[in-house]
Amino acid sequence: MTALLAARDLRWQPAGAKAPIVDGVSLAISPGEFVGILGGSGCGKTSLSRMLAGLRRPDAGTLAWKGAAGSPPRGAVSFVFQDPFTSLNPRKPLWWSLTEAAALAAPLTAAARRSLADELLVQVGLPPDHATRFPHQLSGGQRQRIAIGRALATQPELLILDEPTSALDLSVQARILNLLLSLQASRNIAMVMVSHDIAVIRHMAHRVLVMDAGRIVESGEPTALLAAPRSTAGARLVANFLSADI
Amino acid sequence: MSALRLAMRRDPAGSLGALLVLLLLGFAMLGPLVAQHPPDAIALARRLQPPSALNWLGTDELGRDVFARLAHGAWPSLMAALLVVGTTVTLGTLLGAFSALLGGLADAVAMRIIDVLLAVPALVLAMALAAALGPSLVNALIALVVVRLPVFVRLARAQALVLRSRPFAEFARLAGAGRWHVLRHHLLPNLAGIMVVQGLMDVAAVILGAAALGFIGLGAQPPSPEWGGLVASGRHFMADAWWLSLFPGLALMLAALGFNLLGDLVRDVLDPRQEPAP
Repeated sequence: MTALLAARDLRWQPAGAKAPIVDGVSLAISPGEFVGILGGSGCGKTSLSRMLAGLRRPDAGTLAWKGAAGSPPRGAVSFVFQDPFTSLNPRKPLWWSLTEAAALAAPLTAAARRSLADELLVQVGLPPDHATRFPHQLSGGQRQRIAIGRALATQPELLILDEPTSALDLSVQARILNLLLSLQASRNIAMVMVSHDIAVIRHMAHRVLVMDAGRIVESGEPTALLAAPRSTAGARLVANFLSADI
Repeated sequence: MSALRLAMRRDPAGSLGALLVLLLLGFAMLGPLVAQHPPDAIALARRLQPPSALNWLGTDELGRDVFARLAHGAWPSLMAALLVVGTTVTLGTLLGAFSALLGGLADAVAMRIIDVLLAVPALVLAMALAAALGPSLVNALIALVVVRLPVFVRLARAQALVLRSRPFAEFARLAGAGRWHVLRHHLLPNLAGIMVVQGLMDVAAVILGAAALGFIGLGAQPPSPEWGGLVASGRHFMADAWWLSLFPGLALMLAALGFNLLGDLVRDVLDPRQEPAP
């Protein structure tokens, strides 16, 4: 099967850094697949996710979308940021933020935008009357739901999530993760979720990639990683998870 | 309106500022109507008279009524300051935000020009510009715009750089938004509050700047009763006629205080985060 998004030998080293943050990463994401990227702080997972989304240009390496070299077409890939408190424009009502990407993709009337916003709000489990509210009037979990709804507005084929629950408390985390699972099941969207939390990835992902020092050091099913990690970084993540679990 | 009411309830000092500014504007509009004397009527027999029933705020060295001069000078002084501040805030915000958004060589060149302008002492630069353009209030105001502009460009650029990298602006770019969309929807609305507040805090400095230029003959020309000029001309008689500088100085101080406090209130009104959650 042709990969939805394939990356080959991606590399990125910011000016002044002694070593690359992302160092020769290659990967492929299939349609409808849920891929988890695990790793400790500073391993390069967020930088990699931003390159996959097109938010950061790599120094070297290539991307291919459905077998064709080059970046994905506009709207095909969307992104959910880590911090729900800064991810929405504080001066815009929620209906505006929810439908911004759709309005950029194709001209929409105000009525069509409001109607789309209502639809997206329902999809992410919020009442349509929230459309006229502003971000500061919502909780962190509600904001992250809006960010997810916003990311779905262009009906992307791939959704990249950068630690979408790390800024939320545990009960809210569970609700957001379940929302993502149900959206993936209903829309068959491929998802890439960056996390440092092995429990989250085990719950969500079909396949996990373990990163360390800018490289992918291990790849496989989450249960296999938990049962027998093959890399030092993987073993460290599992050991931390097991000690926290006890 | 609810945002204004809430902000006024939360910020009594800001409400005081708004009241002061309203009083000053009221004085500027109604003062000339209630003044008992024309502002330029010379009466040498009554020179340097202290405040009395005949001359509420006394008379100056030519016997002119200080109240009448203060009242007639209020409107041009306040309007000139607001014009300068409005121009610098608007231009500074646009230039700073554009510079941050464009980045690269355009940003570097713009910032070096700003650095050069900031390196020259403001008053010296204003004097040089005003002298080159010729002595008049309009030219003094143009000079003040040029002198104050770099500060606003710097502030807007710094804020825009932060906003540009916020996730909401990054998301817009990912969705295909061009620079104009990001500027219009993500940078300018979020810059507006801080720039307006900074501008209001600059009103008093501009009035004083205009006064300084007037004092050396490069601003409003005598017998114009512009406030800064009244303070400057009264300083020769401080020992014997304290009212000449005190009342214009007091008016300037109240204007500075009023606009500064009003700035805080305006920031709260412009910031939707001040509204309570429903």
